[in-house]
Amino acid sequence: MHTLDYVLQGFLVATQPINLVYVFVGCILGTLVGVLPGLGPAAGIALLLPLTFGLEPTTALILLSGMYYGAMFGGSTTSILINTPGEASSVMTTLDGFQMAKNGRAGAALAVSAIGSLIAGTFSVIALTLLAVPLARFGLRFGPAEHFSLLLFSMAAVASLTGDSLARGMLSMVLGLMIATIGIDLQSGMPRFTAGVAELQDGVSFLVVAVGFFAISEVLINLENHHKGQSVVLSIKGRLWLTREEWRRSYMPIIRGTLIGFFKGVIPGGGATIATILSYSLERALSKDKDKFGTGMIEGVAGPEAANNAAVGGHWVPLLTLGIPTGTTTAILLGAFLIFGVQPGPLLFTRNPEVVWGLINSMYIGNVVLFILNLPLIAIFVRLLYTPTGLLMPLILAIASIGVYSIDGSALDLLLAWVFGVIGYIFKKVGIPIAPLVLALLLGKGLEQSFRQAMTISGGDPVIFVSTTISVTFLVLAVVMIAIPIVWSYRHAIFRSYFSRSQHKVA
Amino acid sequence: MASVSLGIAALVAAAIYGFGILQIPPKVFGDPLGPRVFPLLILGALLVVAVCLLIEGARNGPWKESAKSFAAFVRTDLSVVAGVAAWLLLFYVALRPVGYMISVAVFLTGLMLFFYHGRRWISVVTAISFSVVSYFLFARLFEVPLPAGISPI
Repeated sequence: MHTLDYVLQGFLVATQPINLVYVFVGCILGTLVGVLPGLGPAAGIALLLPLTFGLEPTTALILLSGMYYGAMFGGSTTSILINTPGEASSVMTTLDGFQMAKNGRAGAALAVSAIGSLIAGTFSVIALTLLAVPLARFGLRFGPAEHFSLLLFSMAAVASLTGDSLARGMLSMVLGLMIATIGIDLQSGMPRFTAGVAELQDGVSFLVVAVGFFAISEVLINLENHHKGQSVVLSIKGRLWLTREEWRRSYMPIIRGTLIGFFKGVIPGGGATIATILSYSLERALSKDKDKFGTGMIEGVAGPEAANNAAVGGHWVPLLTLGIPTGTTTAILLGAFLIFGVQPGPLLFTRNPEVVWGLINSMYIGNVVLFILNLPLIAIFVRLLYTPTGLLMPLILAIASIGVYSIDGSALDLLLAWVFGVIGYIFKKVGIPIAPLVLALLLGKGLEQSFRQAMTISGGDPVIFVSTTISVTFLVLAVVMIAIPIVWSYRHAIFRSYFSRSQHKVA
Repeated sequence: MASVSLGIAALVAAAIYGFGILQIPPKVFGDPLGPRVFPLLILGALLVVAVCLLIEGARNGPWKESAKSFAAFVRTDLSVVAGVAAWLLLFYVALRPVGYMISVAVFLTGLMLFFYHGRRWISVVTAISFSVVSYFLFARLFEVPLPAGISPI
């Protein structure tokens, strides 16, 4: 069957009534999660995941992915109206979006955010459609050594580019790998780190870790913040559309933000946040009114919002084609794929074409649904901001607990989720990023398997990891990723010594 | 101070993990590398990270400032978070013997009464109605095996 046939078949899958309903539900739930400050897409998906076990894999994945890009879409609302980003990648939107709202242009800020998100989201799905098959074919050339190097690169990138400290990112990654080694060793059949507990022989459930680290720890943080004080919600003023002048100023930032966001999204590490920072910096650099940024410039909303949503499309490329998540939410989504028995990677496009193309094509529909939902219904979603935190957070905690208990009906799972929730809270307080841990937990088993397979093939000779160009490239990239934060922190000293040496030479 | 504490915690974790590695048989027939090799590599990485954290802590300097902010956190916010965590743990322990509906209702009522500063009856009604509605939704509709415990339903 030709790829085009698969794409068309995917459209048939995506437009089945049940899948259309779940696209719609996913978009609404995602927007709600995005609108709720403090509850990001990762936590939202982790909460919902156990409740999707009864669905068909394609339908469940369509629902969860709808939630992902819905949360990105909705995240801008809180940034604009209460100066609190719904998720990390909406931080840049607060700078000018909130100022626009204070200036009485909240409607225009929300509109440009929705338009930018629609354009960027649609572009990134088209790019995903075009890039998916060639990249998957490239992935078929990977043996165990290449796979090991790729996984190492992916984890190194996320560990080094997430958070402020390389050492803390690495600590998070190593802890994730440690948790991944708990359970029966797949190659020898020996139990490892189970402490004699039979329930741990299958390893620690990914969902338990995800709910603990994302849902429970976030609720603890939110309740702590709630105890300190509350944010003020600005009302939406002005009409929900752009003036001609505002549109003229917005369309180029949207285009630039889309391109930056998509290409950054494909690269592991930093998530969409880096893309939004790059987009904002670029718009500020290109503007004649640099000093006005931060006072309500529409370019400062249009660019980052487009970058944010384009990055989401970019994240899907390595996830679907190589099985590599580039950030926290895609790591949770990878977990969802595996729970539903669908292995993302090069073979996904031949083994499960109806799932992958149904999912990709549902994103076209989802972007339009979100645009239609967000503008006219924004006032309804905004009402959610008035839900008292003191009622909402306990309910989220209860739903998270039902989710964990529903996996196996295990009291141990609840206890582990509690432990991970407390650890996650400590991580957030001391600035340890959680993404590397989740990623390492998911990829740890694959990393070990490919390492041991490669070593078995080579008869124990580690030269196999530098025997092919692909493997060497990924290993070099992994080293570069680790070196970036080190070089960055010493940049002043490096430049100073370089210039003083060159001045000595000239003298 | 946080980096040094994390470095020490990483060393403790390394010691526990190292003890766990010693419990794994070194080699098994048909497996040339054995189940210990990969955990040993992770242990090595953890030790390197621990050293990096200790160096980072030593470089970051002013311990007094960090100690002051930590002490302020312990005085003000820690009691709230510790209370919620303890209440949650109690809920988890009670879930099976007491049953879903009663334990959820009590758990939510306690939290909402503390954190919601509006009318008290709203907290109680919300908590009880959520426990009843969610039980029927999850246990009956989604067929999630929720514990009945001592409740008659």
